[in-house]
Amino acid sequence: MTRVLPLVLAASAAWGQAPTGPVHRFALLVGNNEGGDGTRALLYSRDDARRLHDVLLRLGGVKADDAMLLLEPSADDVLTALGELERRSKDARTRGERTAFFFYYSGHAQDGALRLGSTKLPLESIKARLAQGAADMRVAVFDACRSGALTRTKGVRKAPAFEVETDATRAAKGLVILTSSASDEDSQESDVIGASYFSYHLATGLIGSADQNVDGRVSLAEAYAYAYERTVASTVDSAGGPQHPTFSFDLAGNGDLVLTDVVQRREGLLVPASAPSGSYILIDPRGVVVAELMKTDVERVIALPPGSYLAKRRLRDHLRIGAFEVREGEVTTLNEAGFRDAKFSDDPVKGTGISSLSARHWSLSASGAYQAVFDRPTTAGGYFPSAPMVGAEASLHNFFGKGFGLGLDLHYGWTTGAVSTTFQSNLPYTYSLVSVGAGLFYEWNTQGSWVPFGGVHLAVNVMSRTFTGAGSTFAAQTFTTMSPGIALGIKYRISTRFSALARARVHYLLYNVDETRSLGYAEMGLLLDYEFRE
Amino acid sequence: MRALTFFTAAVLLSACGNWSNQDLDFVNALPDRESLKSKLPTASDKRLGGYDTRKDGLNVGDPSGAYASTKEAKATFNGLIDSILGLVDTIRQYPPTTRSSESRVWGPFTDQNNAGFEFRLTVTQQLTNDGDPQFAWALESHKVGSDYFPIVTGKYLPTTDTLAKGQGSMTVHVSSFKSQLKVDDGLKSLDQIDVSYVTDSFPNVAQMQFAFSDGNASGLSSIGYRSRIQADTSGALQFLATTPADPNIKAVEYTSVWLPSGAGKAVGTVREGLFTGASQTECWDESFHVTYAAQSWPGGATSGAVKDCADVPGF
Repeated sequence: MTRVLPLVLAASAAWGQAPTGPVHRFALLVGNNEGGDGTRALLYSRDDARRLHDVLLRLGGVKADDAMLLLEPSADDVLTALGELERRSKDARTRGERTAFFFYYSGHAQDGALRLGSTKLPLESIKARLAQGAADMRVAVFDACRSGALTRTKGVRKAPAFEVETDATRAAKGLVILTSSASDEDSQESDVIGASYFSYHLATGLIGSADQNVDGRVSLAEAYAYAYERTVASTVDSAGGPQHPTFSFDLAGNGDLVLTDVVQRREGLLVPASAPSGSYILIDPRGVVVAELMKTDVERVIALPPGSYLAKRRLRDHLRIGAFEVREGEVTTLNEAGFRDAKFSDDPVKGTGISSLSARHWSLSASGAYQAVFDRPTTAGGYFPSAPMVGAEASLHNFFGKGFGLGLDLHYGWTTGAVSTTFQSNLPYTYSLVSVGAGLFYEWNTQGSWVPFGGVHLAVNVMSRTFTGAGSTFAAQTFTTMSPGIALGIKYRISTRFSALARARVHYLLYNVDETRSLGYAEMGLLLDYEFRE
Repeated sequence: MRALTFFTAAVLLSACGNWSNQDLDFVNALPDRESLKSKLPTASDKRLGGYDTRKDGLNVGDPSGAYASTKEAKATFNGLIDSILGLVDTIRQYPPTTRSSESRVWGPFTDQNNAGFEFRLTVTQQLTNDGDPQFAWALESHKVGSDYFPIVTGKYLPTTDTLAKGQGSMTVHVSSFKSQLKVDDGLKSLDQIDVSYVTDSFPNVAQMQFAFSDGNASGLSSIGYRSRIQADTSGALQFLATTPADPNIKAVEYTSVWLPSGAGKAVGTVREGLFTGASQTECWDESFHVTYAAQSWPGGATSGAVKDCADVPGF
């Protein structure tokens, strides 16, 4: 904190107090999980950009038409959007309006350039564009750097550190730049919070946690001070080492820049003046902290979006926990008297168990299924029987990014039956099926108790039948086919690592020996899944 | 790009194998040697005392010589079935090489015993003059580059809705191939073997007729075997041998019948020659010992009572 104060004070001195007139605000937010060759896909950059986008629209005075959210854009896409917002900003200034422009980037940066998929945007180039921007106030936030270890960091290849100019003496009028880490540090993502540390704390601060002077508004200085303190505290014990955000500015004129107004929207949580003083932790249903506030003898407002929450107070020897709900367009007053006492072991704030659900990890499943073939019964001349199956599956979750996974499976099915042909009736046989498959799937709500999923699946089915009884002299028959299909299902977490799944697959089945026919089959399966997570 | 898309689609939709309901009907048209074999209760099936210490003679209580002869005849009959259908049975263990809507072809395969020769098996579905379905099959051989010649040809009339049952016939064209392929000495004395069978009603019948070449060393002109098996496994084996050069016994017919228990009866009758009408009868019990024996010619011996002969109905 001692390192932050001079910067905050310097910024406050430069801006003075809040501006008097309305400010026409524009925002461009960019989230890129993919950084191209030599980088490892990030998990939360797009979520970070979405979160900041939502906060700015809800509380930051940015109209939806004046905000652009770009997810996985190319460098050209960013420059095009930047040019469009600059044009609009210039038009607004021409009309005599005071303007502010907020640029946010979360993603990879390496070798002096932002890495936008397979394209690059040199830092000098973007800085020059921002420095010469048309808006009166320009705030640029870069959450980017290299990779870490325990917590996921950005980039994997050792390279010169990602640097953003911190020299406040260069002439770039009206520009403030925040970076998520110092020039020689990694910026880290956290599976616990499902976000980058810096962007998460910045967003948390903007909804009211950072309102240090309790005036119902969060200024740039307050937001940065809060994000700095929390980011350092969150990363000090991480394998990637402490992460120190930086702040630089070059401003002329006066007036502080208010980033969000947490009171004006009149939606969220009001902690009344009568509530006990002290620290309050606000938690979402996933167990993730969404806001923190230090209550004094005045009331505080946290502009939480509508939803169900828990509030927690930590006392010397126990916790006080209470639930509350924020409805759209309403301010909920916190009733601390309705809290219940709880042991420390009942802390609703989850550890890595919950949020590592979004990290890349393996799971193994045992499955039982029934394969129903879309064909006539074999006793009526059909080719393939329906059969029960057992099997095992391995899945790599979040392999291609959050929610996107890869699965491999092996199943064995068997049954007995009888086949009728033109000249023979009820020829008995035993049937077996070996199915090897691979699938790509997407899981929604990966951190929830109920996780719907769907995807595509490709199976190689090896079917065989051996004739018995009067047909025992006939040669065994086999059929091998590649069957593409789709899968839908839902997973229910019955404990931290165990889940029960119900899944349905529908596959195409080509038959081409006696005749060419397009058949198909459905598989209805139940699985017991164990996830290998940290 | 179009080629890549096509290739990808082709891979995704690839399928292969021998999973065929129709194959089952084509294969079923080929005779199954096990279903044609004679099935006689044997010493291994029954507790038999004294069979190995048989004494000559026709006395009641002696081990039955007729049963032993019947058993030998059964072994001969079944051995012949094996010889004729062994290759067909082997081929039917494999999926067809070529399929069409009306035929299946196995082969051609290289003949390991006859250098430069190949053989193939063809089964064709066709209609009889009455419009009934019929399968014709042919096991053929050829010297590579030459026309095929028949080894065995056959026909099969399937009986719908009756598992693996029907009526069939086949001919072994010995005269066609014995000059081109290596054959054992037994076949060299033959011109043709005709086999017919009925397996869709009881008694199941399989019969073989061997036509010998003129001037063969055995002096035989023909031998016919006929095997019949009832649903309860009682059965009969009959064979007729002709020896035109023997003026006393030009043709003799042997008929053995037996019960599921093993008890049976054998009658040998001279059908042609100076001794025409002469016969020998022998009956045995469940342990294959003589219960009755009689020779019809003058001075012939008789032992036991005819009431002790097994009564085998249906033959």
